[in-house]
Amino acid sequence: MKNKIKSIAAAVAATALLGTMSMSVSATTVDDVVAAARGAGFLEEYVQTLQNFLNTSHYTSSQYDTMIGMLSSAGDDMDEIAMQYFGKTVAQMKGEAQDEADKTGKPVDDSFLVDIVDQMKDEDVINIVNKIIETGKDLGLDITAEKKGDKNYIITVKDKDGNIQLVTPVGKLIDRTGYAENVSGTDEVNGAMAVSVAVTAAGCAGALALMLKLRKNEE
Amino acid sequence: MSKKNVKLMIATPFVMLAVCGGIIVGTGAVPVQKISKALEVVFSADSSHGKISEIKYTEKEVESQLDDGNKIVYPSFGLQYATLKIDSIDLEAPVIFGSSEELLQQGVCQYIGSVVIGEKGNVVLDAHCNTFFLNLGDVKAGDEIVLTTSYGEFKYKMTESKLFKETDNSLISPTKDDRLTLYTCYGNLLGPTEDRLAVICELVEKKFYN
Repeated sequence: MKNKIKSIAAAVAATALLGTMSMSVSATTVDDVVAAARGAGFLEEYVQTLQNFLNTSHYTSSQYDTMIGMLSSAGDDMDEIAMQYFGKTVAQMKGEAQDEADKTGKPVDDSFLVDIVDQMKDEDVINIVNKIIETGKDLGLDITAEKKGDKNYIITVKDKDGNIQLVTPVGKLIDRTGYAENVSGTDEVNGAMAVSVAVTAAGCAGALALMLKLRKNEE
Repeated sequence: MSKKNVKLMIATPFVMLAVCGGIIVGTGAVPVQKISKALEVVFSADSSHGKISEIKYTEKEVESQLDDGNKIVYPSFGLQYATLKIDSIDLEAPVIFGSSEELLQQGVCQYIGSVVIGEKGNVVLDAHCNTFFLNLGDVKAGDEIVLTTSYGEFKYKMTESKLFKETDNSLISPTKDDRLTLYTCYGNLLGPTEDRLAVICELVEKKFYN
């Protein structure tokens, strides 16, 4: 559940970022967008994802402004939940977690964000993701959210030419690194299965025919 | 023995062969595929890792300068921009920026939420446990791990290994120190698992070509 929440927040952040990329007009830099994401309380992993994406993308300052607007809006939504249930803004909660991490020397405990996301209903998250997807369409981006297990999504962003710009998990951030499913091998297995079924069926039919013939001979 | 019974006796072995053969092919297809994949991993250290044709990525590199003056090249998602070498387990593999099911079949993938190699922080790489990271668990403390890019070479020393659950993000989170985190599935070579093995390494030497 916590991961789902994180993933939702991540998806919202990632989509918000992506969606904003191809819009608008202004005088802002990548650093401003990253600072806005950080200020809105997004997990550092998602802030880093945004920064990595923007490092190789070129947008106008107005487009950056749009991104900031999207991030702020997403941050406001989360702030509303945070204030309602915890009496603090996301930034305040993140600041406290950062202070604690500085004291202990351990990584920042991001469970506060999970707690916030936990308070959100599934429909709320899905609605936000859908809005972002629709916004992406308006901007010429093809954003898709593929459900991968319980409350986990993979968000894929493509440009108008179908080139993948970003794939980011929403929910579980850890990759599935178990046995690698061989895509081409799957067809081979399916083919072998079909042959197996056909040969076995033919064999069974033959056996039945032999039994009937044998019985007839005995009579 | 009648003529009819002779025909039946001749036909019976073929019928039985068809039934048994069909069953053997059906039950053996998946295991054979898995074994062949494992053999492919073991005997194809220098196999090519071609991109999956249907997937299109925008291959871009953007040169930039770090605060310390060293030059770095930012890769776009899906670009192979480094090589990972671990002599102790005889591994040399391509490192791809970003991760997806398709990319994991082509090489070692870098978590998109981690810093680019050469930047300060936690570089997080992962790969399948039955392919590139088959022997990750054999890496011992003190072993050298080398990441080579077009802009520099970065040497790490393995410090510790940890087991963690797939729901635990703490080891892939950003860090203030320069480190490399490698992880893969643990405990089940031929299927999905919730357990992960992480190998944590500290940066011991960095050489920018500039």
